[in-house]
Amino acid sequence: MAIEKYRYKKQQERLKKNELTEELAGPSTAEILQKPALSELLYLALEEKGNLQLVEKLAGGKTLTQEEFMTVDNLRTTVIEALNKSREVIDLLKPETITIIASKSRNFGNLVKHLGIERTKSFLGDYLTRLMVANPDKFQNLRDKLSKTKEAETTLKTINQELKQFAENYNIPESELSEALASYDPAEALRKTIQGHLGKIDIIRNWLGRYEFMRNKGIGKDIVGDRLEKLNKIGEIDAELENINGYLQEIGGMIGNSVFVNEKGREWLSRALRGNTLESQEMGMSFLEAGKELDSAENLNREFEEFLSEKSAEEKKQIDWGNTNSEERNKLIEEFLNRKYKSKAKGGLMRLIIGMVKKTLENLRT
Amino acid sequence: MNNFLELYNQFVELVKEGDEEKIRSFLVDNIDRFPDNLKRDIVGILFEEAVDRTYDDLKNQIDYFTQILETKNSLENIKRTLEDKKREMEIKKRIMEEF
Repeated sequence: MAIEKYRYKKQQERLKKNELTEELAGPSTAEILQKPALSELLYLALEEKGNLQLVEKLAGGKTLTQEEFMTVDNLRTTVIEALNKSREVIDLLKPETITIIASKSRNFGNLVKHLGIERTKSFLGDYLTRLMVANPDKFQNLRDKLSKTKEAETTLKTINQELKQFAENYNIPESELSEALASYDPAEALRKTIQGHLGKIDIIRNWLGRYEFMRNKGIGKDIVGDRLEKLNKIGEIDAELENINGYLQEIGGMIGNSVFVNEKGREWLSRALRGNTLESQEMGMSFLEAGKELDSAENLNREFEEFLSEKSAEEKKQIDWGNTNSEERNKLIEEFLNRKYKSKAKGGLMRLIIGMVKKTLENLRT
Repeated sequence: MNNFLELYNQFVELVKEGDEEKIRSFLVDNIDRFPDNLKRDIVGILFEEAVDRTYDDLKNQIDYFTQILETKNSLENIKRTLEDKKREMEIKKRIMEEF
């Protein structure tokens, strides 16, 4: 406690000197230990370091050694950093961004519809803080993707503007895309349309290759010199211009398709560009795979009984479940889960599965 | 049987059935029956996936449109250059004819 008081005093002095903001300073170790939401983060950080004994000591309110206290004090920074960084990400999540993200996944979209944006954000705040503690690399990756998504939204708006301008200049009508969207299988029809577009773009680029233009984007005049030298007749130039106008016409058609597409069409376009149309094929993580770690409640109960027998044998003392208090029960369930899932990587899905098993055991054993 | 045990057993049955989409729909449809710590994980996991998909979709669209626009710009640049050259040749031709 003396260390804690000293640190608190120093912190206050630095705050007065404006070396720290109140937010950066964050909660003290004592505050973290007192608040369940914060102590859970500290326990998670300790679990990640494999220091389960210290988690048990803290949860049991036992006195810590000087070394243990220093370990806990050092992890305070991890907890505060996680709180601050997850808040930064949550600040990025404006309602319109959540709406865009929700539109990309039917399941997440339904959750947002059901829980509402504010409640979703609240759950996400907790989830992201834990992710930052348990897996900072994954957290960073997610944060980068969110930032890039925001940048991409802006880029896409600029591109759309350019496409619209082109469509206006060339007076391009709505055509193939509306036909594709009206067909029996719009995603498949659209996929074929887009494949056709990309194939055509390849042909045009090959044609452009004779001007060595594509390798030198945007500085055409210097590069086309050699080719131009070879075009010595007005008729030859006219033939080339005719080709170019034909290609521009085709590109105009592609752009027309893109410009006139509505939100639903954009979704089909995304699917077509993704290369498949089935929702289940678009999933990144497998609940099915993680779910294989689950046993029926009956088997789980049997397995827990076996664990209690093993534990009794190890401690040479019969564990009488009926006479244990809630703290002891929780400790036993935690130990059972640690043994059962010792070799499993604790990603988000696995934590969910373990959480379900824990809740089931709590229900079974009370 | 209490509410959560029933939920758990239904979930285990769905896993046995082996349909990934049904499992996800089950978690979403029954979100209110999960305690808050599990709700948090379900929301977070599905959010991570949705962010991945959003990012990939936007990137794919940008790549696709960029290819189209770059090709269009290249064609327009060459067109301008050829038109300049044609004008130059026509002027030269006219001058030659006049003299």
